[in-house]
Amino acid sequence: MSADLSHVPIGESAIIRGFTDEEISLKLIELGCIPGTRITMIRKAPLGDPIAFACSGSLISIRLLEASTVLVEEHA
Amino acid sequence: MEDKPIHIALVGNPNSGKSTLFNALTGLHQKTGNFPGVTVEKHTGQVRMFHPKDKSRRTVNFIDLPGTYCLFPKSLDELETFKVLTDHRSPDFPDMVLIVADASNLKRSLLLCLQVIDLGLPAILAVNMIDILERSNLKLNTVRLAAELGIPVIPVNARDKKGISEIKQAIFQEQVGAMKTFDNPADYHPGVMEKLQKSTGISSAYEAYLTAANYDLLQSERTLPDLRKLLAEDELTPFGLQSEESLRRYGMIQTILDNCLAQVTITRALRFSMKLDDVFTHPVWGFLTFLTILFLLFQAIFSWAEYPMDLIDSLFQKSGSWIGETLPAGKLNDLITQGIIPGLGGILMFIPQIAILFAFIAVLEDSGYMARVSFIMDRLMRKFGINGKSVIPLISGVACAVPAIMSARTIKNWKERLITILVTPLMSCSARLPVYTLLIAIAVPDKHIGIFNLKGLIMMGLYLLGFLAALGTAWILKWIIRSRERSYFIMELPVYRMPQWGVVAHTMGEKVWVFIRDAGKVIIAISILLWALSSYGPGDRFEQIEKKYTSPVMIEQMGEEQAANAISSEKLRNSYAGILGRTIEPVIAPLGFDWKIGIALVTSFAAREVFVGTMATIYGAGSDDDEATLRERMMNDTNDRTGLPLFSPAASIALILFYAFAMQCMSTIAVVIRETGSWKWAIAQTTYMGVLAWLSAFIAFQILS
Repeated sequence: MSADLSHVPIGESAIIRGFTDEEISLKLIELGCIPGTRITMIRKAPLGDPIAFACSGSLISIRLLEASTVLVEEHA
Repeated sequence: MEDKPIHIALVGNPNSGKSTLFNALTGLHQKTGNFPGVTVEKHTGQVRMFHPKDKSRRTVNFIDLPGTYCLFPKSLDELETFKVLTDHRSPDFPDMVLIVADASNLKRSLLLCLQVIDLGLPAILAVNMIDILERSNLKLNTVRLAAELGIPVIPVNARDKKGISEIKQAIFQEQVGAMKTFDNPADYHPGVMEKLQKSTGISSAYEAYLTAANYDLLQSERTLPDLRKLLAEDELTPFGLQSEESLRRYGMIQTILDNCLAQVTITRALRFSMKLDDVFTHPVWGFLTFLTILFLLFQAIFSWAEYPMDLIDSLFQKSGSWIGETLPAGKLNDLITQGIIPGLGGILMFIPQIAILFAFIAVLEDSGYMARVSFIMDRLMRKFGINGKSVIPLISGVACAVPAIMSARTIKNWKERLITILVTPLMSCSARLPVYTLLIAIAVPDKHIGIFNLKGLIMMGLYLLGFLAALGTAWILKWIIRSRERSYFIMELPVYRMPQWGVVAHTMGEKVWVFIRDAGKVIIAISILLWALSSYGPGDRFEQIEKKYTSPVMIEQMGEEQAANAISSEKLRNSYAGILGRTIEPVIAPLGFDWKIGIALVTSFAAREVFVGTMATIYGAGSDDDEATLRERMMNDTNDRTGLPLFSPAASIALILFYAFAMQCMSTIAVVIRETGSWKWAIAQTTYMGVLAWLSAFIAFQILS
C-alpha cells in the first residue's frame, strides 16, 4: 500500500519510497532519510503538528505539510 | 542405525567464526584466529549427544572445513571443502551441513548457503556475530529467513556460546516439508545439463553443473571427460557458468534480505529519549515543564543577576567619582565622569543578565531540550509567520532584546528570522522595568482586586501587552515581507544528554564578548553625544544661570543644595537637549506630554532606563535613589501649557504605553543592524515602533483624559 508520510499512524513503520518535492527531499537526505530507509512514526506535537518519526536511530521532526511530500510504503 | 555417527560438516566464509563455533560445539580447542584461512585442512571433533526424543546417546562427528566463499574453489583448501560436500562415497560424507554465516556480511554468506541447499544436503544456518548487525542499526528476522530458506536458522554468538544448545536441538529435528531449490541449471541450459549429467554419471543436475564449472581444478584429481570441450559446443565456459550462477543467486539473495533484514529505526539511546519526550512533549506536562523552566529563567535573570549587577554599578560609580576627584576639573573630567563612565557602566551592568541568559539557553540547547520547545510551539508560532524556534528569542527578549536578537540565528529561514528580530524588541525587557515601576507608582492607585495588588496586575498586563504586540506585529509582517524562500521545520530532535559544561561556558563567554564589543561601541558614542547635548547650551545661557544661582543672595534664600539642584535643572532646560525637548513638544503634546518628558524621550533614546535619571535631573531630586521624593515632585508638577497636573493618570498611562512600544534602545538598533546586515530594517523597525508608540499613547490619552 502506498501513502505519504503524514498518514503513517503513530507506532507504525513504513519505508521511504520517494519524494514529490525536491527541496524537502534534499533536507531529508541530509539527515539520512533516503529512499529505501525504514522509518517509524513516533509522535505528534501537542497541537497535532509537527510530527516526529524515527529513522536509523535518530528522531526527526517534520510538519504535516512537508511530510505529505514524502512517499512511503506502509506495512513493511 | 543405533550408534552410526552422524556427520556434520561446518562450512562458511573465511573468518566467519566457524572454528570458534566448532570449538564451542565439540569442546576442542581448535586454533582460531582473526584472519582468513586459519583452517587449512579439515578437523573433526566427536561428541556424544542425547537425542532429545528417544533419549538415546548418539555420536555426532563435527567436521570443520576450510573457509570458502562459494562452491567454485579457487585454491586447494577451498577444494577440500568442495570435495567433502560432493564425495558421496567417502565415509566422512556429511549427513548434514552446518552453514556458518557472518552477520556482518550476510549477502556473501547466503551465496554459499543457497549453493549448499541446492546440493540437496540437509542444512542448518547459524548466523554468527549478530550483535554486529545491531550496531549498524539492522535487525535480522531469523524466523522469516528460515521460512525463505526452508532450513532452520539459528542466531549464535560463538564467542559467548549463545545458540549452541539450539544448534544441537536442530540437528535432531526432522526436516519439515520438501527441501527448497533455488537455482536449477536445467532451467537455463536443459540440453547442456543432460549431456553433462550423462557424460559424468552424476545424477544431481547442480552437482554436474558444479563439476563442469570446476573442471580445471578437478581434472587433476578425478578422471573426467573433457567437459570444457563439451561446454564449448554450446558456447559456454566453466568461468561463464560460475559468473552467471552467482549473479542469479545474488538477485535472489537481495529479495530474501529485503524481506528479512529490517533497519532498526529505534535504538536503545533513542528509546530513553522517547521516554523523556513522553513528558516533555506531552499536551499537559510538556507545557507545564516549559512554563516551569521559563519561571526559573526569569528567576535567574531578575533575582540572581541582581547582586552582580549592583556590584558592577557601584564599581562604576566609585571609579567615576575617583576619576572625577583625581583628574583636574574641566571638560575632559566631565566627559569621562558624566559621559563615558556612566555609559559604559550602563551597558556592562547587563553582563550578568546576559551571561545567565545565555548559559541557560546553552544548557537547554546542548541537552536537547530546546528542540522540543520548538517542536511543541511550532504550530502556534507558525500562525504568526514565525516558527517554533522563534520562541526562545521572544522569551529572551524579556531580559534584553540584544542577546535575544542574537539568539534568532538558529532560525534558518530568512523571513522567519527577520520577523523574529523585528518583533522581539516589543517584548517587555528589563530596562523598561524601572520606567514602569516609577510611572505605575504615579498613575495607579494602591488598590486590591481580590488578593491581587492592582499595581502588580498592571505590571503583569504590560508583559502580556508586549507579548501580544510582538505576535500581532509578526502576524502583520507575515503579509508584508515577501520571500520566495520556503519555511521548513525539518530538524533532528537530538538524543537527550548531559550538557557539556565546556561548551556552555564557551557559548556564554562568546555571547557576552560580542555584546560588549558590538553594542558597546554604539552605546559609548551615543552616551557621549547625549552628555554633550545635555551639558552644553547655545550662547552664554549656562554662564547666566550659574551667575544667577551662585549669587550670595540666592544661596541664602534657597540653601546650597537647593541652589545646586536649581542650576542643573535650569541648565538642562537650556541645554541643546532641552531645546530639542521643546522643539518636539508640538509632536508629543497630543499625548499629554510637555517638553520635560520630551527631554526624557530624547535622552532615553539611548536606553529606556535613562528616563528615571533624566527625570531626577529635571526635578532636581538629586540622586535618583530618592524615588519617593522624585515621585512626589513629579506628581505635583503641572503641564506648562495646560496648567493641569503633568503626570495625570491619563498622561502617565500614555507614557507607559509609549515606553512599551517605542524603540528606545541604541544597543538593540545596533544589534539589528549587525544581524540583518543593513540599516534598512533597523530604520523600518524604529519607525513602526515609534508610530505604534505614538498612536497607542495618543489613543490612550484622548480616551482617558
